[in-house]
Amino acid sequence: MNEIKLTCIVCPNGCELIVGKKEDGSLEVAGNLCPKGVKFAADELERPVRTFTGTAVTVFEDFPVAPVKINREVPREQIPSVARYVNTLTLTKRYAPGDIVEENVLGLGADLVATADMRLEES
Amino acid sequence: MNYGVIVIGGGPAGLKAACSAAEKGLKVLIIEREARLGGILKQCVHDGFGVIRFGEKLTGPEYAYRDVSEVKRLGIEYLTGTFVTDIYAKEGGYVVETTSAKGLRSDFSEKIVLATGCRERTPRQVNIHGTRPAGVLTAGACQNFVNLKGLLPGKRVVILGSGDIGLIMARRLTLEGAKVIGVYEAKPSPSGLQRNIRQCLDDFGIPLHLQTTVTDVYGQKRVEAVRVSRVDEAMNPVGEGEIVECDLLVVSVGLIPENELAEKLGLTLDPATKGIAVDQYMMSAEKEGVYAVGNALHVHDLVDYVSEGAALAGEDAARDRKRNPVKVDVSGPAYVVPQYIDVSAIGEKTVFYLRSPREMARAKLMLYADGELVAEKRFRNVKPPEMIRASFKFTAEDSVTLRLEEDV
Repeated sequence: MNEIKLTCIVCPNGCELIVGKKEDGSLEVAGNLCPKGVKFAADELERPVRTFTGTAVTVFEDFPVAPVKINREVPREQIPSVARYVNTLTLTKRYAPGDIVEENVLGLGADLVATADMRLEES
Repeated sequence: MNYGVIVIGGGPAGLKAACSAAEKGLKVLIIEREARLGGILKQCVHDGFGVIRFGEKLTGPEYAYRDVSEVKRLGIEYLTGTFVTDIYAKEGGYVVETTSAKGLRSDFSEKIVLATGCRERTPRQVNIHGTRPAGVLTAGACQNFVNLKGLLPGKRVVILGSGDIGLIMARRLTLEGAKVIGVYEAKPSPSGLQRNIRQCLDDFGIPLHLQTTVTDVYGQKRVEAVRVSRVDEAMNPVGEGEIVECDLLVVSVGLIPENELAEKLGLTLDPATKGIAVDQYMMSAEKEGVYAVGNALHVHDLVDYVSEGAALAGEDAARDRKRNPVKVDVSGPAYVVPQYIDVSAIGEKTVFYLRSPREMARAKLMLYADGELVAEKRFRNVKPPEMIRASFKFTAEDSVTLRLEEDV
């Protein structure tokens, strides 16, 4: 049986996983504190997924860039393309956290979402 | 104006302390130096915050937004763009003097919460020699440029130190189109979390060089190169080293609690945490009514625990207690917060935050009250960069001891 060592990146626990691949192809995961570690190991060996967080340029002087994220994980190798794409955008609206900036980015099935409150303070 | 509590600092620690105090009926004022509430979370655009507190993975701005919304919902007064110039005790409380674009202001409060966060250790503090060209930044300053100002401070980057902010910036700079040549760490093991090494370095093929440091910086106006050298166990460079061309050196070599105001109040700092010494409600053991929370108290690795500690301080500010703080006798941990236990006010649970001085596969934490072992907790894979949180239900009368040992 082959043993592979992985660090789970799902949460800050960062469990050190030991993953064994049985002869029938199924996985045996040890070292995980929760079931998410099992799913992470399976994804990581089959098709690693990641999330993207970054910033997009805006037209607002008090908020030259605004933080954004995608709301669903996408294949890891797509992350650089998502980053390049987000760098082509210019935001012209003042978003609140959770507002969708663009649906289905690059057809990957994830939406680009604002994460900061860009709205002006009422005074 | 008069307040029940003035909270200095509008980051996650200050916001949570303010909300807890306001919920208990105190009149609260938050003083924030920057234009917006949220503190350093505003520039931490990556995710991983809030897993413990909210059960979901949030980005820094999203985490801050939850607390800022709560501040607004509770109608808590806050001043932004406002800088504290002086703080001193006056009968029954403290005077806080501030300056802002609106002018000078003086407020009085019975209690004070210091939530002033921390500062980064600078390149000069780790003995890097050479000229002083542009292009040498701390990781947090680099993060501020990229994530708040939308500027890319360099295209060929060397990162010194494997702290989490440096690792996060390695990924961030790469995704913004810069080439990160490598991360260099003088110690034999990384100081950031393993998961950040995986997702920020390994994912992008960025090498991590352990027991290697930057010894010289070259360039007159702008950084042109750095010299990197292997170091021995005593951290002294060995051999000639190697020249690495770059136009940006990012330094991620640790954080130090910011305690100028605490020192102004005459409080002494714990040499291990570089913050003030507090009881289990984060109140100064030396001065009644002064609290310290968040990274001003000790540098945390998870904001969730910053909020947890700050909530205790905010609630406690709303009550009066007769204090009998007993110094916790510590053996084993690099540090323990709280340093004191008010034995006359031990509540339902008492939370200790501590760090191990070294890596241990299995560790055992023992709590003694009045000389008797009252509880034992076991931990796996204990490492200095990862804070240990241990919560106990116990009572004591005149002594509390905490021991951390290798569990064999």
